Amino acid sequence: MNFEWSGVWDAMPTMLDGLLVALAATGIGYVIALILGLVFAFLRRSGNRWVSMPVGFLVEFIRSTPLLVQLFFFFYVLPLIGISASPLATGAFALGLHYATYTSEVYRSGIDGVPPGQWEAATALNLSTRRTWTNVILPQAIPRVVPALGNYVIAMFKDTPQLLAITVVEMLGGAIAIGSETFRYSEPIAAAGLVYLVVALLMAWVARIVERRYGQVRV
Amino acid sequence: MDWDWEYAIDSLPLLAEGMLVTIELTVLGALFAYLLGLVFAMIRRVGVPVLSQFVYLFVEFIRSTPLLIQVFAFYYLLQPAIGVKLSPFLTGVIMLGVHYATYTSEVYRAGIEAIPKGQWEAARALSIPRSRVWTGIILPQAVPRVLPALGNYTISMFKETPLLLAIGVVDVLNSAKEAGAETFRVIEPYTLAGVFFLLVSYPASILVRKLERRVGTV
Repeated sequence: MNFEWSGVWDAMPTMLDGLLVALAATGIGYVIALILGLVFAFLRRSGNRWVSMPVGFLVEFIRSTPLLVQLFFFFYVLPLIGISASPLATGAFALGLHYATYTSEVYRSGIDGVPPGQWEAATALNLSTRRTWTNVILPQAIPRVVPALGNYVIAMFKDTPQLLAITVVEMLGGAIAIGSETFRYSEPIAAAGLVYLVVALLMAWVARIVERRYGQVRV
Repeated sequence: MDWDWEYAIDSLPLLAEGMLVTIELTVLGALFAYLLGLVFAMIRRVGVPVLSQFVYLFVEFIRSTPLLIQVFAFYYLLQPAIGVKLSPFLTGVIMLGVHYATYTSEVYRAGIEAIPKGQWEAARALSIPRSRVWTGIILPQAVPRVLPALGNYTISMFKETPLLLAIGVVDVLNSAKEAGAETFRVIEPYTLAGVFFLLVSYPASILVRKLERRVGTV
């Protein structure tokens, strides 16, 4: 078998289109994961058993089942109950929901890491519950979890090829499409791998910078 | 949308068969990952010239690219290129094992680094041969501590096995897909596939948590 580098080069325009799709899915999914994860973490801490138990069960359920199963489920089952969304939107939502269960655990560990004295001091100063969270607990909890949250963006980006299963054409999908036209799969798939590698390394680098800048608790 | 219990029960045997394949893949892949990861970690730690740098690059490369791409590349490109034809199942075991070996090697590294320096110094002071230092002193202390982390990776590995659908391994998700394709009813098989995963991985994660409490985390 002969490998032609020109084939890798020719695949690049398609790869860039695919990269945009992968980044869009990662971006939308990540925003969902960040917000929903915090909501899950709050609800699980709620004193009301009828709130914390179902949320806990939902989080454990999603964490314990594969993303691919969830993708199939949302893709085929949501239309049956009358919700129709584009494959990309479905994929981004499924990614976001899946990772929200991970980020909720991250937030939980961050919140647990705030010393109990902070809670007691907030109570002693008669701060309202809302003020305790927004001004005391979260400003200390979030910086601690920045590194873990950063790692999940990268993991999420690397999970985007799975969206291929629900017909979202990102880089791997683009590579297979090129292959089926030209009957040469090696070069486009190598190109896809290369783009994933470069972008994932870049993201890791940016994550380290963000970590250094925002990862410290400011007192 | 309606749920058909009869159909759900009918599809159970097919799904159970798929689940068996999923578990086999996970167990074999995990064993491979544990061993290869340890080899990677020791090569890096001992600092074998050239090989050590090569392992570093390999680990970073594998960790930074998606498993699905690696599976594709290995099955459709590398195997024809070198003229071997492995079954999808074997390919799956190898790729899962190699991918997760890069993670487990980091876990072992953390475990080895957590061994107090005095242990190394004491071993040297007693002039214990190098191989005995590893097998008799360092690993027996490092490995138990990393068991919970290895357990967590085994669970995530278990959850990644459906990816092997791409090369035609008939696991539980593929069985669900087949069942759905025959009858055009997808709710029951996909839901049951999810339940199957839950039934295995939730107890497993409780087990890992227990283990964690027992040995303490690194």
